Amino acid sequence: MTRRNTVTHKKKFEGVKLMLTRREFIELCMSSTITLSLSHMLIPIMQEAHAQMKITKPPVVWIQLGTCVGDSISWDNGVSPDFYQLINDMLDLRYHWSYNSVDGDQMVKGMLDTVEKEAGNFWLVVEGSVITADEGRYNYVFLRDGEMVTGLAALKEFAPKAKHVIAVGACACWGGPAAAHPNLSGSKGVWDVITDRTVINIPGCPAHPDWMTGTFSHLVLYGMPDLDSYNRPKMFYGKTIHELCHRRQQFEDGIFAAFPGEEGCLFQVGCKGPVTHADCPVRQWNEYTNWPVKAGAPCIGCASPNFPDGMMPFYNHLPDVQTPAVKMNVTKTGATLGALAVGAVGTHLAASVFGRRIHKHYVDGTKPRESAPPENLEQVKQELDDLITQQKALLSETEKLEKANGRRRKKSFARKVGDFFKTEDRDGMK
Amino acid sequence: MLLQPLPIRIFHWTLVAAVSTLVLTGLYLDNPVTVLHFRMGTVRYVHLLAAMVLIVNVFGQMYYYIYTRKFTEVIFLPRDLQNLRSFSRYYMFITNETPNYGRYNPGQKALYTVWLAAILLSIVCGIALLFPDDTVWLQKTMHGLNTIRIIKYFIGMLFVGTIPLHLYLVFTEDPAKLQAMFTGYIKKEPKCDPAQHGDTQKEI
Repeated sequence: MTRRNTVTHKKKFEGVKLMLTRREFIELCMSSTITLSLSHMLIPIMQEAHAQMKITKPPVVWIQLGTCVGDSISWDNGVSPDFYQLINDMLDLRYHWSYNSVDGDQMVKGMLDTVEKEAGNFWLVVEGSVITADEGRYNYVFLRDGEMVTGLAALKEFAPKAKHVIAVGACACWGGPAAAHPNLSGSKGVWDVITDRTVINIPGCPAHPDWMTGTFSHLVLYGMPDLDSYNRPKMFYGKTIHELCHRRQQFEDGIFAAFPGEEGCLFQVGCKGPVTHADCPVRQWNEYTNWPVKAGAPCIGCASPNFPDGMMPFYNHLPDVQTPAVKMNVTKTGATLGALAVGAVGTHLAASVFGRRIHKHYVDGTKPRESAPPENLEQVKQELDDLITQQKALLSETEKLEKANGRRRKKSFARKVGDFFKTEDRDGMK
Repeated sequence: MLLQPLPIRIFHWTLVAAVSTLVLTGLYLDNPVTVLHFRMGTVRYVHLLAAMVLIVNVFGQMYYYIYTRKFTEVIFLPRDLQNLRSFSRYYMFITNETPNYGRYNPGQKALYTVWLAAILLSIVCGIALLFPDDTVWLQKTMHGLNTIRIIKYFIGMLFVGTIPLHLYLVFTEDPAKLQAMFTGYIKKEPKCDPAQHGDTQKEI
C-alpha cells in the first residue's frame, strides 16, 4: 500500500513539466496519504522552477529574539532532504544566528546590507517572543558599531522594510511559554508589536518542519497563502486535531484511557486535541514516525493561541483560570460556588421553617372551598361571627392608616437605614 | 384569573425538558462516566437535538414576549431597582409581606434575565464548538476554543446552581402560583374589574 502510494506520487510529479497549480500544491500540503515528507516532494519542484527561471530565491533574514532556538532545530531536523539542501535550493538565507558560517561584525554587516539593499524584497523570519519589558533590554541580539541592539528595536527597524514578516513558533506568534504567567519579561507575539502589516503566524512548540517549508514554498511559488483570523495558513491549521485523530472512533464509542499510555481516547487525561488546530495526526513528527497521541500522551495544545497558560494543567480536561491574584482550578471553583449556593439556600430554608414562613405560605396558598348555605340557626350564627371578625380586621386597618397619615413627614437618611432593619411582629404591626 | 396563558406554559415546559437534557448531557460530555458506557456520539446527538429545541424555543419565547409587550413582566429593567429595597427586606426576614410586584418579583426577573443571557451566550459558544474550523474569527474574539469551553462549563454550573434555587422557592413561596404553571389559572379575582377601567388588553 505504502509503496504503491509513493510510486503514484512520483509518477505524478515526473509527469509535471510545468509548475504545480496552486490547487495541486495545497492538495499536496493537506494530503493525508503521503508517505514521503512534504519537504522531499517540494524540493524537485522548486529546483525545476528555478531551472526554468520561473522563480528567484528570496533573501531571508532570520532573527531570533526570546527563544530556545527549538524551531530552528525542528527545521534542521528535516531528514530527507536535509536542511542544507533546503536552504540551498529554496531560500537565500542571508542571516541566521545559529547557522552563520562566521560571526561578529562581518555577519551583522551582511545582514544590515541585506536589509538596506533588498528592502521590500527580503523576508523577515522571526523566531521567539518579543521581549518588551524595560524597552526590550532583557534581550540583546547583535552588536552594531560596538553598541548592543535589542530584539525589539531590530524587529521594529526591519519589519517595515521586509516583503513578508513570518513568525515561527508559539513564542513568536503569541508570546508562548516566554509569555507564561507571571511574564516578567513582558513577552509578546510579533503581531502584537508589528500591528500595521500582516504577520504570517506558524505556531507550534516547535513548529513542524513541513509547516515552515510548506508556507515558505507557497510564498515562493504563489505568494501569500490563505490565512485564517489568527493569520495561520489554512492548509496546515484548517482542522482540529480531534477531527483528524487516529483515536477519534474510540472517543465516539466512549472508550477512554484513565492514564496516559493506555489504549483509548485521551480526552479524560487532558487531551487538548478538540481545541487545537493543527494537522499532527496526518503529518506526524520526526519524519512520519509518531506523534503524541499515537505514543499515548495527550495533546498539550502547543499550536493553540493560548499556549501554555490557557492549556494548563496539561493532564486535566479544563484549564486553570489565571486571575491577577490566584490561579483557580475550574472544577474546584464550580464546586465551591455550588457549595456556597447550597449553604445559602439551606440557611434560607432553616430561617423559613423557624420563622413559620413556609407554614404561612401553605396555609395562604391553599384556600378552603366555599361552604354551602346555612341550614340551621347555629350555622347562621357561625357565618355572622366570621363577618364580624372580618369587619374588625378592616376597621383596625383603617385606624392604622389614619395614624400613619397624621405622622407623615420627610424621612432622614439615618431613619431610612433604621427603618430598613426594623422588624414587625407576626401580625404585621410595626 | 388566567395567570399563565397556554403559550407561556408550553414555552416553560419545553424549556424545562431542553435545559435539563442539555445540562445532563453536557456534564456527561465534559466528564464521561466510563461505567455508564454511553457512546459519546449518541450523547452528543441528544445534546445537539436538545440544543435545536432550545434555540427554537428561546427565540419563540422572545418573539412572544416582545409581540405581546409582556417582556417588562419577566426582564429586569432599571425601573425594578426601586423594588429591591422591599424585596431584600422580605428575603432577610425583616418583613413578612411584599408589595404587589406584578407577575414576577425582582429576584425572579433578575434570574430569568440571567438565564436568557446565559442561553444566548451558550448558543454562540455552542456554534463555535460545533464548527471549530469555520468560526476562527469568533474564537479569536472569545480568546480561543478552550476559553469557550470554560464559559460553557460555567453556564452549565449556573443552571446546576440556580435550577434547585428556582425549585426551592417555587415550592416554598407560593403553592397557588405553582399550580398555575400546570393549569394556567389562579384562584383569585383582580381587585378591580379590568373592563370597567378601560383596560381591554386581551390575554393571548
